[in-house]
Amino acid sequence: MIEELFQIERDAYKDSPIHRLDARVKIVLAFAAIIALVAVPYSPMIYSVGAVFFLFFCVLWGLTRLSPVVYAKRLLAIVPLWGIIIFFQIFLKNRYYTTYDVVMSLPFGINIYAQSIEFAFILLVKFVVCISFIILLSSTTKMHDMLEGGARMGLPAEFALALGMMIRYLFVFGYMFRKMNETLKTKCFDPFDRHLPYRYRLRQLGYTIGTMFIRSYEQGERVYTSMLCRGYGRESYLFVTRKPLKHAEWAFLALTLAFIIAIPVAVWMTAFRIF
Amino acid sequence: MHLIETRDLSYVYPGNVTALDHVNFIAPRNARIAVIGSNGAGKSTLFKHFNGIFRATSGSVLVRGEPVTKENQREIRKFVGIVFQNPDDQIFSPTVEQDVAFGPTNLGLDAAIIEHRVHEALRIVGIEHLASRVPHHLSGGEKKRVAIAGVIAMEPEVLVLDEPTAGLDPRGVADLSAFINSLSSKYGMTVIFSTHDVALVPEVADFIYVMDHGHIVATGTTQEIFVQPDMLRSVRLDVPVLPRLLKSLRDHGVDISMAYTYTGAEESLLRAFGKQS
Repeated sequence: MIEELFQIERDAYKDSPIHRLDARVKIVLAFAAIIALVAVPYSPMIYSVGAVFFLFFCVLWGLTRLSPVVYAKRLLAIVPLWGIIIFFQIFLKNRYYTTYDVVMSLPFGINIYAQSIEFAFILLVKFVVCISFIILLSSTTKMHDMLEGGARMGLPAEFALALGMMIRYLFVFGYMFRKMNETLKTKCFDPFDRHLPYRYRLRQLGYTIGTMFIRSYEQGERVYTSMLCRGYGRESYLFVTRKPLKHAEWAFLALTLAFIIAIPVAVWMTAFRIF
Repeated sequence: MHLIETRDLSYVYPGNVTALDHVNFIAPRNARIAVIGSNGAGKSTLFKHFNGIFRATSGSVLVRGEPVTKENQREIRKFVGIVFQNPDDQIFSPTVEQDVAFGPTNLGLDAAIIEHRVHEALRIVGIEHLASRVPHHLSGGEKKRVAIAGVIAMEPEVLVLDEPTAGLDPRGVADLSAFINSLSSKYGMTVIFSTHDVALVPEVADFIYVMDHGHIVATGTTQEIFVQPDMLRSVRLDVPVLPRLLKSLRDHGVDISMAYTYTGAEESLLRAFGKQS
């Protein structure tokens, strides 16, 4: 997981037209796509909107010059979270349908409904496309650029400062975790080594995690002291310089926003169906 | 009036651990002061009293003749800048520029002045090119410079550096010594630093305090301190290599004058070998 964090950062530092876009443009684009998809009613119309949005995402991903494998890996990494939620929908009734046809009956009175399967597919489309835009944003925008973008768009100063510190220490603890891992390896400790007693492995892992907690606590104390030394107080905020968007960025933003708004409206008005 | 003065300063940590015991310390204007001592001698604890992070258990701390109070601590933290040993404790913003700007923003300055101060501080420590970098992509020496720039941006008159050479390579140490000297000579700042590296002390300090177990055990100039090898060994320190070598040569009958810095020792040796009058 920690190595994933470093990999995301390495990807964000690559160069492409999408990487070079101001973070604000990418944040607005991602949120606009998510809002547009969420706003589409729970009906089969989402398949058409989702397909067009996914094509749009694919074009943007192509411009990033990142491998599709990178995208697929990140999408799959989130499967345990959303996959289970979607899967369980097929057993449940929801408020979007009035009648339910049983497709299969299982023991203990559990049924799979045709309408619930359709609902699960709709959810799947919404999830996949929304997460794809989040992956696009996180893979092409440096974390501090995202924070600066947020701050320039009015993110409250308290959040910006706290998030800034979180980003900074995420990497400090990432490196700390890496070093501790290397130390364990040099001492020939492998938590998955079945030759070692299970309780011993568990205890050592407990010590390691405990040490991380203690070190993070101590680090917090030292950081707070150094913040006080530099005049930290209630009015402290993260310093972000002014940076106007370029004409090309305005144009790109306007076009993409128009596209994102126009597609669901057009599909709804024309009742256009891909599937 | 001294810039910083402690009078019989004592500090006891929770658990009844005495960290400082009747410490008397003076920092005049435009001075370069080294505080040397082994680990746990109380150097860092003493430094944290200089800007009101720690409050004396007994005795007093005077900054510009005034005791540190809750009312003046903001002014005092602007006046006395402290650079801690580990830069990761001090660099907490996502980019170098934002971190250096942290102090000036807390002083309530406007954006244009903050920007000017940030660029000036980065220029002074020679890392203008790192402004947009993220701290975890920097080397140890670069991080140390960022930490120093973050404090310099507040334009303090006294700069306190806790173990500034810890973790630096030889080139980094040489650059840092030149930098400390320039702060005093070019900007008229008072620099107080702690170190175990006794070889560095003659190059960058006019005055030395030797600490051991919370006490000041000796004070004096380089010449006065480094002629006391027994005292230094008793506090787990030693005389730097160059004066030790010259002293040994003198003890073996070589007609050579004592020196403490590299330049001084070079001159002494050249004179002794008849290469310089």
